[in-house]
Amino acid sequence: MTAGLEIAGLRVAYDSIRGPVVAVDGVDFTVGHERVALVGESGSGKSTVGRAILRLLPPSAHIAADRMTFDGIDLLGCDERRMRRVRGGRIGMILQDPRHALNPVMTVGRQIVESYRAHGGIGGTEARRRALDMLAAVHIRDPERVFAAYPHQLSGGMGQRAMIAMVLAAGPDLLIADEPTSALDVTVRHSVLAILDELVIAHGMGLLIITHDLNLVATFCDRALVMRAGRIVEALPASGLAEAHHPYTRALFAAAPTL
Amino acid sequence: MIRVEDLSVAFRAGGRVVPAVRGVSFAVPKGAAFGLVGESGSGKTTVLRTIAGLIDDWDGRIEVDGVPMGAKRDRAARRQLQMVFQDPYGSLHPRHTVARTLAAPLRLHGVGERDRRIDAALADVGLDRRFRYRYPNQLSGGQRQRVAIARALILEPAIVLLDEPTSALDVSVQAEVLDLLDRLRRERALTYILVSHDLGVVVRLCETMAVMRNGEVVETATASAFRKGAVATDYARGLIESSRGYRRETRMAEVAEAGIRTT
Repeated sequence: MTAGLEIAGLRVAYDSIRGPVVAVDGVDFTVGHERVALVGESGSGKSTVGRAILRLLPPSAHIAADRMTFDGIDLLGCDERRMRRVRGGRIGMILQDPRHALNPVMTVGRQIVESYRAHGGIGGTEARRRALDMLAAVHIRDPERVFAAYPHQLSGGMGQRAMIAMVLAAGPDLLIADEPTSALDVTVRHSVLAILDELVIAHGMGLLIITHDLNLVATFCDRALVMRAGRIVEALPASGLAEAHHPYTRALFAAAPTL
Repeated sequence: MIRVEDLSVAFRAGGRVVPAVRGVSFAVPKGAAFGLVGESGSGKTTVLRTIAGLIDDWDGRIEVDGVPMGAKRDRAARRQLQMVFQDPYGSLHPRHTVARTLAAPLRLHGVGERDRRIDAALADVGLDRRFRYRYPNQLSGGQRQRVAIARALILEPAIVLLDEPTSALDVSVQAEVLDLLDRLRRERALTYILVSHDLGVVVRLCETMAVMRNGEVVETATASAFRKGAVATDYARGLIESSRGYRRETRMAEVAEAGIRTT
C-alpha cells in the first residue's frame, strides 16, 4: 500500500457540561510526500485534526476513526509506548508560538541536542556538532550564539527557526505545522517556508500545514483541504483556489484583502 | 489636518537608551486615511501611541488643526483623538457590561444623554440594544472589536487611531470590520491613522501610506502605487513581493546559493 498518512472517518468530540460537542465530524484525507494544507477559520476543527493525529488532545476529547495510519502504524490503536516513538521521531509537530513550545529554562542548544540523542541514538559530541549544523540549516547566521541562548533571548523569527531545528533534528517523515509562520514578519516567513520546502523536495518529507492564510496555501502548497464546522467541504489543487467551486471556499478567498 | 514633524521617541532599557522612532514626519489631511506599515520593531505602533498621548517622553512636533499637542493634554484635546487597539480580548474590561464600557468615556467627559448615545453607538457598529447587557466573554472576536470601535466613536472624535484593528480576527470577520471602518469614515468625514503589518489591509482602507523600518520612514507612497508595485525603495518592493505569496523558484535558488544542507 502507499506510504504516508491515511485518515478515514476521523471524528473528535469534546465532553462539556451540555453534553458532547463535535469538533471534527468525519474527515478523510491522505498526506504523501507532498505539501497539503488544512485551511479554515477559527473553530473549523483544523487544529483539532492536527493534534488528533498525534493523540495530543486533552482527556475530555474522544477520538474515533475508521482508519488512521502512518506507514502502516495504527495511530489510534497502538499503545502509548509505541506512540511516543512516533511522536517527534516519525511525525514532528511545530506550533504557532515558539515561546510556548521551547523550554524556557534550557538553552536552545541543549534542547536540540536532546532531540538528536532521544531519536538518533548518538553521542553528545556528535549531537552537538549536528545541532550547530541544523541551526545553520534553518538559516541562523550565528549558530554558536543561538546554541548558547535561552529562548527569551531570541526574537520571534529566531525562536521559530530554533524550534523548527529541534523538530527536524529528529528527522521526521511527516511534519504537522500548525500556523508555522503567522507569528512571523513577511520577510522572515518566506525563509522559514523555504526550509520546509527544501525538506519536501530534497528529502521526501510529507508536510501538513494547518493555516487560515489562503494566499500562502495558493502559492506554497500542492493540495488544499478546506474545513468548516468539522468537515472538509472541498478538496482541490492549491493553485486552483482562486477558481474554487464551493461557495464557502470562494467567500473565504474573496474576503482576504490583497494588494 | 494632523501633522507630525521630526518625531523621535527613545526608551530606556537597563541603563541603555534605545531609539524606537527617529525623525518621523508626515501629514494627514482632514477626512483622509493614512497607513503606517512595517515589520515588528519598526516603531509604527510607537508613533501611533505617541500621537494618542500614551507616551510622555518624545521630541518633535505633533499638530492637530494647527494646534500643537503637548505631552500634557486637556480634556478637549483628548476627546478628539480616540484609539482602537489590536486585541479585542484584552482591551475590554472582562467584568464590565458593554453598556458600562461605553458609558465610561461619556462619564469621564461629562457628556449627557448617555442611554441614547450608547444605543446610537451600538447601532452605528451594527449591534442591537440587547448587546448592552452582555459581558465580553459572551461576545465573538468580531463583536468585541465592534464594541471597541463604538467606544472610540461615542465621543464623536475627529481622528481615530487604529492599531492593527483586525489582525486578531478571521478573514471573513476582518472583511466585515474593514467594511464597517470604511463606511464610518465616509459617513462622518473621520481622519484615520492605521497601523498594520498587513499591506492588503492598509491598501484596502488608506489612500496614502508610509513604510517604516528601524524607527524611520523609508518611503511614503499612495495605495495605488503600492498596488502597481510602483515604489522607489528595495525594502518596500520586498514587502510587496512577500505579501503576494511564496515564490518557489526564487527561494530555492537562494537555498542552493547558500549551499546549506539540511541533514
